[in-house]
Amino acid sequence: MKKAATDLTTTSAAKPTIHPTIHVDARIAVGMFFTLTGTILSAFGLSTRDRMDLYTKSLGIDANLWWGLALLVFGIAMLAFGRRGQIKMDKAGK
Amino acid sequence: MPILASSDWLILLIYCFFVLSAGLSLASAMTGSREYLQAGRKLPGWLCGLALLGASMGSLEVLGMGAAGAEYGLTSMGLFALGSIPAMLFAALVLVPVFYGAASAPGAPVRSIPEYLGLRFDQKTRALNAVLFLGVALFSAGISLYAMARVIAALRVFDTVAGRLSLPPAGALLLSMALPAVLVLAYVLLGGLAAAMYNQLLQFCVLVAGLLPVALLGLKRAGGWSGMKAAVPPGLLHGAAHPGTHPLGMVGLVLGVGIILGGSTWCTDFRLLQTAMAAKNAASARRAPLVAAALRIFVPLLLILPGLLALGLPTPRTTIVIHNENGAIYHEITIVPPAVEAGQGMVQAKADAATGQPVKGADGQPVLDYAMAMPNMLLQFLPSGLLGLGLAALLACLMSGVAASLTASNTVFACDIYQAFLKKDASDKQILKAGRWAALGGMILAFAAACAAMRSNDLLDAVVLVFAVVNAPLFATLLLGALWKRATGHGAFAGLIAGVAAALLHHGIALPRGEQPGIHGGWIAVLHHPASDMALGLGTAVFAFVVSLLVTATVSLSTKPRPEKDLIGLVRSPEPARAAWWKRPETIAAAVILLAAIAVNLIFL
Repeated sequence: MKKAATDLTTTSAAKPTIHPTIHVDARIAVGMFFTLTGTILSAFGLSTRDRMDLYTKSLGIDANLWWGLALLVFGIAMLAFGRRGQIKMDKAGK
Repeated sequence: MPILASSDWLILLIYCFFVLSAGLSLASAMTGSREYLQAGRKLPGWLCGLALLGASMGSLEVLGMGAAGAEYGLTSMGLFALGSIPAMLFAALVLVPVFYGAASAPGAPVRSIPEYLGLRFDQKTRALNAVLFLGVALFSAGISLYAMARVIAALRVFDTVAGRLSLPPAGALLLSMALPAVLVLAYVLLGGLAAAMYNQLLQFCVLVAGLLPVALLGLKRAGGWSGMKAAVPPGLLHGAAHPGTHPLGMVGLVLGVGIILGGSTWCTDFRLLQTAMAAKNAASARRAPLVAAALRIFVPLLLILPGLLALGLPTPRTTIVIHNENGAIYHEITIVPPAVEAGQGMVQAKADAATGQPVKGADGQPVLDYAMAMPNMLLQFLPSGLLGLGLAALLACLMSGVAASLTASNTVFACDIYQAFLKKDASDKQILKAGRWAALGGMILAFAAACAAMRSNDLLDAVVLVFAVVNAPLFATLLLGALWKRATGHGAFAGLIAGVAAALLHHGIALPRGEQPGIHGGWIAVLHHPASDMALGLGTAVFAFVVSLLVTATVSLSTKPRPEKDLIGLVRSPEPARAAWWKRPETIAAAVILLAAIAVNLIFL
């Protein structure tokens, strides 16, 4: 959570104030959100793997772990695309 | 019983933090009115498309889709596709390029639909549409705020918080309306349309991430697709592939749902079109509805399917212990409230607020609370942890819909009321300021509408009516304005007025069976009985559209036409420099999307 907060402030600080336009690639925030929640969910799922009482709802599947991992992959992919888009956008801005 | 574990709260709070931070990180870019009201017209097409999709999935739509799945079954999947895909493709290919390209002066592109009407027709049409739009947008924002807050309160999310603050019994409901409202207001005030659209992207992703596991687990629980077909009542499985059985008939469906309802949503509603109009160039603007349509094909699988599955699951049953003491029989009810037990599958009956007993309809059967189909499935299948994400998904659709109404209405207020009529020489800074004040005022009005809906549940049904009364005539006017050079300002104004009057008249003389005259119709005299509220809304929209079309055309033909040189860029004209229409990428993309939509519906129905 702390990491996300610092990342956000650096993106907004790095934004050139001379251009009065919107200069943040939207995918970065999405990527950060899903990387963070994916990590939390899969860590939570991993630590509660043996607690079947928790997962009777999800038919005995450790849904937190597996869905968390899927979201983590999605988040990292979005971060990667977002970074690339941001670099392109910064170049075009200069 | 608090249903949220601390892991759920953590995820919910992280989500709220990200939503707010989008506003914070964009606040410094809000230097002028174009940045604030139109996101600088700098956004890429894919983002506009996803924001368009996010804006179109407000709480009423999402709850409505789950409810339709439970109430009408697979038919509703075909209906939703019919009601959106063709209209979105038409918007992409025909109308959005006209709206996006229209400009009052070089470098001063049109900012809103009323402003387009002002340029194409005249100021009175603009003012009429702006006022009607503000009313509709804020009213439906309030209703959708209430509709989702009601669900969140029913899930007892804020009960512990309300208890700790020792609020009155309605406190949890008020909290679940006020907290999202404040959050939306904060990021809209800070980052304007850009923040709203960035969040609509995030919100769409969260919606998929939170609800897809429900659909998958629900299917697995039912034993796959064939298991589901065996579990749900067979009446719900007839798809749109058998339209002959539908009470409205094939022609009525295609005309009413496909053209008029779809068109008045996707081709005229500024809450949706504002996202396309924020694109960085015409090609991106055109791409936005195409991107949205391509993804929209799969949305019913995500939202309608869980509603349908909810009906096929076993109903939670109460264990009733019967004592017989001295001849008196005592029923001791444990575990399940009666309204849940009277329901079907995981869809409970509507409960009487005073007694908690299930509400009975005219036929003596309990009235099912279909809007709870989707939320109940969340509780049923998501373990703590994922449940937080599922609730974030419900909050996400609430916020994206309300934010779309708020940003659209502050643009319309700042451009088409403030700058056009109140202060014609307003500086850019003043317009920006007016926009922010309008967002604040709009949220207060929307919240008032939500509180009114809390007192009278009938207002929930009024949304369909308001939509038919305002948007259907507007679709006719915009269609003629964008495609027909001969349409005139007097014609458009007369057409809009006549359309609204016709819609009200039709609503006044028709009453669905089993309803009381009033908000459900029939307040003038009951002359005919449509099959349902939905059929009444559809009939009203069709009637309003046709009347508006005819009146606009007739009055236009009898008034003086505008010189053609004034209409350059305002009416669609052939683009000579480009390839033949069937060779253009957007036409090919549209054809592929249409075929894919048909294929998906044929496979699943």
